Amino acid sequence: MPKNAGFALIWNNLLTLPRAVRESFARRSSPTSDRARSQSIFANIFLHIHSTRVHPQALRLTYTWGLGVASAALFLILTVTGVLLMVYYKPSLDLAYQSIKDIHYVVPTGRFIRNIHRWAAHLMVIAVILHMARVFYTASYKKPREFNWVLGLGLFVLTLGLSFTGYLLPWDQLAYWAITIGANIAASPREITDVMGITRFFDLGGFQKDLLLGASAVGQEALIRFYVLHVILLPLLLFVGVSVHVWRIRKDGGLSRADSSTTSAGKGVGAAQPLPQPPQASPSKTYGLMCVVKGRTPATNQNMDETVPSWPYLLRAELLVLMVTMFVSLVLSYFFDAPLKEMANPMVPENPAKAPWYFLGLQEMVSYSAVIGGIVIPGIAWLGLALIPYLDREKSRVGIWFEGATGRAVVWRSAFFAAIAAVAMVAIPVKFGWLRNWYPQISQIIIILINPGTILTAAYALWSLYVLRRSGSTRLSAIALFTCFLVGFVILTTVGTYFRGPNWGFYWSPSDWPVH
Amino acid sequence: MTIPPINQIDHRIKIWLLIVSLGALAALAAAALREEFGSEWRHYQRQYTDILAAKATDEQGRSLLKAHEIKLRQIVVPELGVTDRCVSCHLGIDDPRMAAVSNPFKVHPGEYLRVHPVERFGCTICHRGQGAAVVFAEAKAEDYHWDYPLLPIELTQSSCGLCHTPPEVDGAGGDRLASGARLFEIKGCYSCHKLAGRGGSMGLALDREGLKVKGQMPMANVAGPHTVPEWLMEHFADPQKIVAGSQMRNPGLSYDETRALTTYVLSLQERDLPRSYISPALNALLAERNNPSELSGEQLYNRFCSNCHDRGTYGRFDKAYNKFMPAIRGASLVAYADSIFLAANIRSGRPGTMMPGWGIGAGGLSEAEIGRIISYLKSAPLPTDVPIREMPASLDFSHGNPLQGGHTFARLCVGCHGPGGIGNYAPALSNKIFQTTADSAFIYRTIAYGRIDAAMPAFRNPGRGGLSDAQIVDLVAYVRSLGARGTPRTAVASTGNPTGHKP
Repeated sequence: MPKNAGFALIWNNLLTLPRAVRESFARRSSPTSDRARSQSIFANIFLHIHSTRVHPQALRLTYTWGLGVASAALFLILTVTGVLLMVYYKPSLDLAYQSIKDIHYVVPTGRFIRNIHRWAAHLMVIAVILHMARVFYTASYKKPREFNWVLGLGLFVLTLGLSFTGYLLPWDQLAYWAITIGANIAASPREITDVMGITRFFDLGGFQKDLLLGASAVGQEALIRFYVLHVILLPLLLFVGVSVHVWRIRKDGGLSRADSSTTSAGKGVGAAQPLPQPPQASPSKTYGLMCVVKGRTPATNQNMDETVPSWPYLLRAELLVLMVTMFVSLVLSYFFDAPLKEMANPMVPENPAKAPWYFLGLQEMVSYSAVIGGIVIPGIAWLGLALIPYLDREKSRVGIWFEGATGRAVVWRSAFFAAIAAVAMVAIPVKFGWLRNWYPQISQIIIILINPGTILTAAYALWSLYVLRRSGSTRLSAIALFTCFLVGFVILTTVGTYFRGPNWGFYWSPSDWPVH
Repeated sequence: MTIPPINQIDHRIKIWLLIVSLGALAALAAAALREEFGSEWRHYQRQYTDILAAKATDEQGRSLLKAHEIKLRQIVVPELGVTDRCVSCHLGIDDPRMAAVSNPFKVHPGEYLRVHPVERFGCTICHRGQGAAVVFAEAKAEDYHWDYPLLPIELTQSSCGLCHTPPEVDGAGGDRLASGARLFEIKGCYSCHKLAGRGGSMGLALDREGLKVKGQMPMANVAGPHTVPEWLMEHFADPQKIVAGSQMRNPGLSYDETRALTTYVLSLQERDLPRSYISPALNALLAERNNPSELSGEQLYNRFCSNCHDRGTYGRFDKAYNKFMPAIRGASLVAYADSIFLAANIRSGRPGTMMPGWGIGAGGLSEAEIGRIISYLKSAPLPTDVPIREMPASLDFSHGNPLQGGHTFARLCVGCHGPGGIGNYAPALSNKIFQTTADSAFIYRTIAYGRIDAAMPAFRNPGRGGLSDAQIVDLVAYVRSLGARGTPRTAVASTGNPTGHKP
């Protein structure tokens, strides 16, 4: 053995160190074959939640619009910025507001980070709602994906919960009064129990409010509760939920797509950059394993030729969505500061006190009755959405937007009907008053039960039944109902955001508000 | 549906990935650059470096220049809850060489900082504003979400009142505050407003008025900026313009006096500052709270009574309140009324009327103080030209006929005293305190001889009705029957009047 052989060995090892580390990290070298690409996904704890191969349909922006990935990306952005904010934020009545001020003024990049956190939170709510609409309109909730739809609805609630709990933390006037409204909605079952005269024995509303606030008013106890929910409990639940949600996509047959969709995928790839095929055509041991599982697992009934490896195509598409999301959040955060009003002051009620924007549609209905508008109608709407896949089991054209021309017509007609109905239900009480103005002696329970919110909900339900009767199709009926709720949500939210002023009065513009 | 070849899709994705990633990087870079180079305070600190360099003519100047670093500065005073970054831009605040430079570098004017070292007090404790901010507009916070915007410079003396008594700073930089405190006394503000539990009850207690925030004030009619100081200024100039239907009398102040009174009212904060910051004089005043220093009857009268009763030697009609204000130091009242009557009426007031109670638990005056006020009431010089008449000795009030008296009342008295004596321009006679403390002789003499220099005529005079003694006795009986407050009917019923008289 030459004298310097030891040194040469070390030298060589040093030279190949980066590659060796990378290979030990990734458990394999850079993939050169499709099979190796599949293995890259398989062998990685983070990536193996994907299928190893996907249909190119999944990569088309105009099909998914990347909304699911955008929601997840926003969750990632929120987690990272949230952890950074936690370093400086102090969840105590005396320090919370001042710590936000410090984050805004003196913590390096603090203001930017807080802006990103704020706008990403709003964007996430939007992305999740749009994602839900995409899944619905492409009939992607159909068997076997029913449960993933329900799971998604759960994630939607968690998203709203996260946003709502975060709302209190800055401890400013906006936060204090928005959460006060929220807590009063939680207490609103008292409206019913009061009318029944059983509040003394069965105070569901009071219990919910106590559970939420830990005290009779928003204060230190509420702040800590919301903090714990916001930084630990809900994110953890959301993380687990999202993991299952994504995993179910794969287990339920991958991203939904039209049966008729054809592709030149496998062939096309070769033209640009020949991808060596795996040496043997028979499935690898992993595919073999999959055969043991349910018959509808992804790869079993798919033509290998029609799919492309997830690595790198899907990952690159996902990275693109992540970057787009990041870009939008950054640009918004550059130009618009997250709001921070005066420090919370129980002596000075905000008028109007408004909940976060995505609850303003509900607040619009809450202005008629807290329990109906804040609990019953949202509960029914949520339940209705969750039941859609089970009530509409019709064989549908999965993966086709709006079910083609017929569905498109139903969407337009429903949107038109829903818009008219929602505007009317806002305009009539504004212009002519409601039952209390017409029949001053009327019983309170009737006021609670028959209000513009319930009438609107009933109108939407009747419309969908009408469509069901006319078309005989549960799918079209579901499309009608979903469209109604979506349009109603948008209109009521718009009214609540832009046209409601002090004492929830109607104003065309904030400049018409009476000065207090 | 046909899907384009994968390489075509992938190519598009790659290009967009590049564009968007570059965009995101650019946004990050822009944010970093803005934070690093765009900040106002860095700009000012660089300017200040030049100023320091220009003034570095001696050894000390050179060392100051050398020590000057571009960095964020702040003053933290935990005892006062102050974190002030004002000094990040106001760099020459304690450098006497900076008298002639322009703001924000100017030295602090006056002697204030010599006795109030900026490290111990900070800035916002006196000036208000948002100390945490590092941008001037947000530090000033006039149109920003902050409860206590920068005080206009002419009102800053209000903050002296946090640690000092107004007289203490009179002539020592707090003249306006002292003058405001005097105005508060002179204008009779105590008649309606309480401080430390002493004062009238028509208006709000003002102990923490200086801590009020914008949202607690009705700003609809304020012409200037919607801030609390501006509200006070305009309100003192014309109370009814700012608060429609306000009962407050226009104090009739000059512009300068308005500023002084605003300064004083802004100083009323009841802040819990550490005792080490409170001046001995204010400490003494606070300690005296439960044992107020002895004020003479006249001082007490001026402070608490004069706003409505003025000098008290004559009755006057108050247009604003649409009422006759009794001449409580008038010769007749002092002669007719005994001390028990006066003490009871001061102590309990006349509930339901404008006259509040002034005893402990209401206006906050001790029995001794009420006694001194009564002495003062009785000290008015009696007129020599009008005789004070005694009551005829032979009258017997036990046989008065309230029915007859009621007719007389309806003819002569109801115009001013209201139906059933519920009060109109003249005092309410059905008032419980009046009924329980005024004896019949007092009522007789008031009706028969009237009140000298006041609106109440002498009804025994032929020109004013020429009532006989018997008629007056009946009238007294009727007045006595008004016992409880309320409508005459229930009043009569509650006294068990057997005639079922209906006036």
